[in-house]
Parts: sequence; structure tokens; C-alpha cells
Amino acid sequence: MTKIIPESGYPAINIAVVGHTNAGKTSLIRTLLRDDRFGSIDDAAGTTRSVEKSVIFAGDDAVLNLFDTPGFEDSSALLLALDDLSKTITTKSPADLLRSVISQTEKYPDFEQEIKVLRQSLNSDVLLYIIDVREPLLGKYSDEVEILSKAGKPILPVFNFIAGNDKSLTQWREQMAQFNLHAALEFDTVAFDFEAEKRLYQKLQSLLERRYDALQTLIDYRQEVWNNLLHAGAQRIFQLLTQVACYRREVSGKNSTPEADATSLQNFVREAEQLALRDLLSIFAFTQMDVELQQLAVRDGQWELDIFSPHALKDFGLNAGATALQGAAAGAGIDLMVGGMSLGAATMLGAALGAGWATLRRYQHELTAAWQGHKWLCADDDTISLLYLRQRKLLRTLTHRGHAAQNKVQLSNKVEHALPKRWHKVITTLRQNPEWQHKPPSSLEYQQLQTEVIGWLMSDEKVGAG
Amino acid sequence: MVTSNFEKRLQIEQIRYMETGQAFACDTEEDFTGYNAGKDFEDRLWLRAQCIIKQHNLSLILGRAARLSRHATTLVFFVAALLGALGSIYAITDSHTINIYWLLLLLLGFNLLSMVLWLTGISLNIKGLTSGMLARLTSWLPEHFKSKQQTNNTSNSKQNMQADKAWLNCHFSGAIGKWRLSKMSHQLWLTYLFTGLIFLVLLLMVRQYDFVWGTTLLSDSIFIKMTDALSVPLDLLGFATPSADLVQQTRIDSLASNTAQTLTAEHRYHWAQFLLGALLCFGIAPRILLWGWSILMHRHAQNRFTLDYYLPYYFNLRQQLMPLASHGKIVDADTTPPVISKTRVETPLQHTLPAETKWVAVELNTNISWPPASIDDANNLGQVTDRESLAQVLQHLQNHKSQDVAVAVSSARAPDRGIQRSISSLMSNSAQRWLVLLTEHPDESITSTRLAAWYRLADTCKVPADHIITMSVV
Repeated sequence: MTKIIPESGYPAINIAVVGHTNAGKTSLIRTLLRDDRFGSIDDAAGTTRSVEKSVIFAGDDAVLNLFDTPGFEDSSALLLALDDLSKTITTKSPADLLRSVISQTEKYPDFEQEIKVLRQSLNSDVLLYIIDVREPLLGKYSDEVEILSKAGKPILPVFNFIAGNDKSLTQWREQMAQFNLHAALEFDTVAFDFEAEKRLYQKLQSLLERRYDALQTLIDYRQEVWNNLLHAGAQRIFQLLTQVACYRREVSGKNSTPEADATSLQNFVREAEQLALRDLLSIFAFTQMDVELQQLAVRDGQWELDIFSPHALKDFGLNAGATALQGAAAGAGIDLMVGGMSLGAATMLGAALGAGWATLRRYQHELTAAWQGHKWLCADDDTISLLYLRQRKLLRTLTHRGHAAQNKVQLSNKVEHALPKRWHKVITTLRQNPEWQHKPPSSLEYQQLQTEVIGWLMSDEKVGAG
Repeated sequence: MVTSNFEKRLQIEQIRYMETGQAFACDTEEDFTGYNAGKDFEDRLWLRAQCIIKQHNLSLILGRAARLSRHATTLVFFVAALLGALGSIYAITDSHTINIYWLLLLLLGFNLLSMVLWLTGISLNIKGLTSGMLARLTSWLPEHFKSKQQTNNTSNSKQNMQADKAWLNCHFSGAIGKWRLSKMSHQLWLTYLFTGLIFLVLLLMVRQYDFVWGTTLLSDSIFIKMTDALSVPLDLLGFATPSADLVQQTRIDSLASNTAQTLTAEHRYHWAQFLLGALLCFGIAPRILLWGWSILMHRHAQNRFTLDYYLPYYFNLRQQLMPLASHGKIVDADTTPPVISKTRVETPLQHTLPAETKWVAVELNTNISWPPASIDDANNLGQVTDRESLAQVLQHLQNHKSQDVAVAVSSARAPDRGIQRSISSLMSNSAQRWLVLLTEHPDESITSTRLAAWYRLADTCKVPADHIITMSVV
């Protein structure tokens, strides 16, 4: 493979992710790569046994080379071995001592895994030392730091599994301070927070001054991608809301709702939510395995054309004016086709017909249904509200889920959150435009609604993050 | 050869529509996902589209809508030209006397009306108004075909229809559609007026016409003034326009008695020039200007056309074509994978140990306090947490050999090589070896993987399986 040198002229920053076995090294890399298939994660010692390299890009530039390493298992014995070795040879620096061990691997068969960590540490620019803060402060951890510090590389302790473990986190901070490791990072690989990821790169900036710009590019790039991710998710949710709010089904009989129709409505809503869920998961690079979807409670509401709503009035009033002109244009077209010999009669007729035609075409289904004594079945307001709140919650969950999380996201019907102020207005507008169900229109009104709803979802996220 | 950004984006969008059901395979994806290729996401999308078009022979299918549209446009232009010609011929072949303003109204009236409607539509941004019938047809036809198509289609033809649909959506929606239709309608009117003009010139060349005018409601002076006003730009352009006298002389009743004798060649020449000049100046010229404006606006709208990268489709492609990271490549492989011995795992029981057993705890969890009340202080050797404490306990055991040793561990923690070495060394001189798995609650169960790991450790440390017991520490 050819060596990748970004525009800045520096090769990518080599970062060795090190730590005790089972501390969450692979999990951290999974979360940073947004890939839940990277490496293997198991609740047992020695899951990772090789050094694996992944590259993080900012656009085309490779900025970080992340090296996943096997975990330390017996640092105390290794430290003793190093001490013994230091008595037999004269080395210039602690790093040479490590090199000496590495060069005599066959002498230390018990430390095969640890030697891989040492080799990678010597070849890296910075070491991320992952700590499971739920662990007691044991001597072996101090031994690990002592060994790693011999490599002469900056060490950034990363506290993992911090959620709900404030007390032990404080103790661990104090412990690291004893090794002069004051700059440390709280980064939960399961309860993910993008701000924490940004802080990781910022800490690297302070440790690697010369790579400041490359890391800033990375921060900006990741921020942009993250915002796009949120926007794409929110837009998909709006699309789902449109599909469901605009859905209607004509049923015969004014009073009762046949069960088959109600079921097919429910199935439609559920299927639409499933599809949206699939898209959201793929946007956030999760798999279907990650979510347990409790069936959405769908109730059938009756879709009514609120003919006296301001919107419908606008449809009849303002649009009738506009369509008169459209009709006139159509008439002029007819005139053109007959060589302008119809003396404008077609223009006038067209104006009258145009208004009628447009109105008829917009409301023809409603009028036919009314004539035949049929009614429209649609998802009721509560269903749509519930759908919104559920999706909102899903979006929040996905943005705070690390790719190392093993538990399933539960998506239930119990969501308690107030609806946005203009919620009902937005939903009413959507309902009045059933044609939006099939094709996202380029109309300004639709775009404005979309921007508004995306705004709600994104601002929720930002409030949530802060 | 496709070059403009709009055309690139259009093809990418067409591929997106076609991939609604199933994505196309593209073998050479490596070539353009290559890092440091200096290409942005759109470039990569375009390369991917090119690759798909080539591998799946899609160029004909993607171009179909454009071809059909070209054929339809040609036909419409032909009809417009025909109508223009017929309009002129029909208007002036009836007799040798032509009512000049009536003819102008026929040739330019509807043109003016349609221009006014178009301008109103554009300035008020009323959809569908800008190009009348054309817009209606283009918005109605795809829907019509779609409903027809739904009844009889194979997956292939459905996919091909998607390409056409994408083409129509890109060309006829939003600002692009508005200006495209405007452009076309101006072009159509130009064709109509131009052929009309040509046939008029031809007819005026080979036949002799007398031009007259008349009015019922208006006064003569208004007519003369109007002609003067209309003549101003024509004079500037060098057309020979009729003077006030000439106009007065061609009023229809002044000629009622003996037309042929009164009207001279000069009358005819001036009126014919006025007619042609008016057609050019008030019909064709403004249309050309509007046409040019529409072309510019259309081009501008096309340049501003962007793809909605927030769609899940593009999002997933971005992850493929412009990944945030490259994923796992082993650089230092594991050469000696561990052999996991198959140790029989039993259910450890609670058990009372011999009274003189020495207890030592190793690396307990923070929430387990050591020693528990049930253990005599004299038998407690303490807890091993680091090298020093291990050395201390080992020293003690060295001094008191052949004792029974029970090593207590937190059952919830995963045993590693370090703890195994510690336990092994603690037990090396003991008579009876016991491994005590501590739980925080009496009813706490130990996961099977954890239990298996502890049994393997016990096996390595030569602890008999029936010497593995559980004990709860509250």
C-alpha cells in the first residue's frame, strides 16, 4: 500500500489505542468509525489478539491511523521482567528497554500480546489509554501506565463506562494525576455524545501541537458530517409524517368502518414507519438488529375535508383567481393551435373552464365520495402525534448510541414530550394536501413545512446535546 | 458528450430513480473510492453513474425521455410553423382588400395577450400560468402514463419508466421547469410569427393588396394618432411608414366609390412596410428578448440545480463512496491463537471449608468488603491488589507451608492472565486448594461464560472442580 500523505504535508497521526483487556478499546474504535462490525467485542479477556489498523479521513485526507491493540493482561509480571532486563543491559532510554524486549520476543512467550502493544506504542505518535472506570484501582493498572510511559509518547487516558459511575471516575482521575496525566477524556463508548468525540480531537490538538491544523480540519469535517446526519434523519422523519398524514383511504358506508379497511390503514402506517426506521438506521450506520419496535398504536380517524378551513378557502378563493388565469393561458394555447382564428372566444371560455377544472381536479375525489355516500379513512391526530414523538425519541436515541452498544433500542408507545406549538397547523396543512403522499413536491409551501419540522427535530437535538 | 453539471446531476438522479427497487452492481467501485483521489462526493457519484451506465448498457434507456421529448418538440414546432403559415394565408387570401388593423390584431393580438399572461405569471409566480397548455400537458402526461403503466409492467420496464420519470421531474419541476417551458413557449410563438411573416412577405411579393381601415366607435384622429405612434419605432428602423395623409386616404369610406383608382403603389408600399415592421417590432422582437431572457434564466436555474444529499439513498452512497474511515486491516497478526481447553463446568455450591483454611482475596470489586464476618481474622491473609501485597502474602505462605488455601475472587470480573498467575503462585505450596467465587447477593447468578472462564482458570491452577465454591458477601 502506498503511504498516504495529506495536503498538509504530514502523514496521518498514528494513535495506539491501548489499555487493560476488556476495557473497551475495540468499542472506542467502533464508535469513532461508526461501524458496529469492526473487530469483535466480548465480555471476556483477550478478545482482540492482533493489532488492527483503521484510518479516519477528513474528505480525502487520512488524518488519523487508529491501531486497535490486544489488552494488557499481566503488566505486573512484565514490569518485573523489564526491571530484571534493565539490570542486565545498559540502555540509553526506557524506550530502548522496550525495544530490547521486543527484539527478544521468543524469550518472553507469556508476553506475546503485551509485546504487540509495546511495538505499536513505539510506532505511534500518541497513546489513548482506555480505562473502564467501573474497575477497582489495582496495582496492575499503575504498572500498565508505568510500562507505557517508557515508550516516551504522550498518553491520553480515556475514561469509558462513565455513565452513573461518578465516584469511581473521580478516583480514577486522581490516580491518573499521580502519573502526571492531568489531561484526560471522558468518553462513553456506549452512551455516545458527539461533543465528547470532538473533545477527543481537541485534546489531541493540545498533545500534538504540530498537527493542530490537520486535527482542526478533522473536527470541522466530522462536525459537518454530524450535522448532515441529523438533517438527513430529520428530513426522513418529515417524509414519514407527510406520508402518514396525507394517507387516506376511501371506504363505503358513512357510519361504520369495516375492519378490513381499518387494518389496512394500520398496516400502511406501520409499514411506513418500518421503512423510515430502516432508512434512519442506515443513515446512522446501525443495523435492524439494534432496534426493537413495539407496534405503533394506530387508531383510525376519519379524514374530513375541512372545506371552511382557511386553507380550503384559500384553495377556493385565491387559487380560483389564479386558475382563471391559468385557464386563460390554456385558452390562448388553443387559440395558438387554431391559428388565432377563434377570436379569443376560447380564451374567455378557457378562463371560466380553467377555474372550474382546477377546482374539480383538486376536489374531484372528495366530491365523488360525498356523492356516493363514501367517507375517507385516515390516521387520526393522535397517531400522527405519537409517530412524531416516537421518531423524535428514536432520533435522540440513535444520536446518543455508540456503535459498541450491545443492548437493543426500545421503541415504545410511551413517549412523554410536548408537541411543538405549531404542530397542529402543520399537520392540518399536510392533511389538506393528500397528493403529497406520493411525490415530494417542489412547492414552496411543502419546503417551508419541511424546514420547520427539521428545525424542531434538530433544535431538540442541540438542546439535548447541550 | 455529457459535460454540464446539470446533465451530470440529471444522470445521477436518473440512476437514483432506477435504483429505487434494487441497486445496480458496479464492479470497478475501487477505482473511485480510492482515497486522496481529489474528487468530491459528486465527482464520485458521477463516476459511479458512468460505471453503471457502461456496465448495464443504460445509455439508450437514460436518453429515451430526452429523445421522445425532442421528437415531440419537433412535431409541435412543425405544427406551430404550419399554423403560422396558414394564419397568414387564411387572413389575406380572401380578397384583395385588407383591413390593416384587423390583420394586425389577428397576427399580434393573441401573441400580445399570451405575453401579458406569461409576464403576469412570471411576476406573480403563478405555477402553470407561464406556458399555458404546454405546462398542463407536461404535468398531466407523466401522471397519465404512470397510471397506465401500473397495470402492465415488468420490473425492467418499470425501471426504465423510472429513468423517464427522473428526466421529467428534473426538467419540468421547480424553477427549471418554469423557465424551460417559458423558453419553449417563446420559441413556439417565434416560429409561429416567423413563418407567418415569411408567408406574408411571399404573398405581398406575388400579389397586390390594398390596405384599408375603418372604425365604428372611434374617431379618425385617434386612428391616425395611433398609426403615428406605432410608426415611431418603425421609422427609426428604416421602414417606410404611411404619413397622416396616406392614412386619411385609406379610410374605408373615402374609398367606397372607386378604390382601385384612388390607391397608388405608394399607399400599398407604405402600408405593407408598416405591416411587416409592426410584426417584427411588436411581435418578433419582444419575443426574441423574452426568449433570450428565458434562456438565461433557464441556464441559471440549471446551474443552481442540486441533488438532495439528505436523502437516505445519497447518505448511504456517501458512506460507500466517501467513507469516514477505512475499516480494520491487520498489521500485527496473532500467530499463536490460544487453545481454549474444554473444561467441564459444574454448578458451584456453597460449602463450609476446613476450619484452618487460610483465606486470601485477589483483586476484588470495590463494592465487596473484605474480609466478610464469617472469616476469622487469624485465617485472613488479606487482599492482593498489587505487586507488594502479593509479595507479602506469598512471603507468609512461604513461611507456613502445606496449609489449606482458599482464594476468593469477584465472580463478576473476567479473569485475565495476571490474576491467573497470582492465584497459581498463591496456591503453589498449599495442601488443599479452594477457589471461592464471591457474589454480592445470595441469589446472584454467575453468567455461564464467566463461570467457564473461572473453571478454566481453576483447571490451570490445579484446583479440583469440587473445590470451586460460591459465597455471598453482603
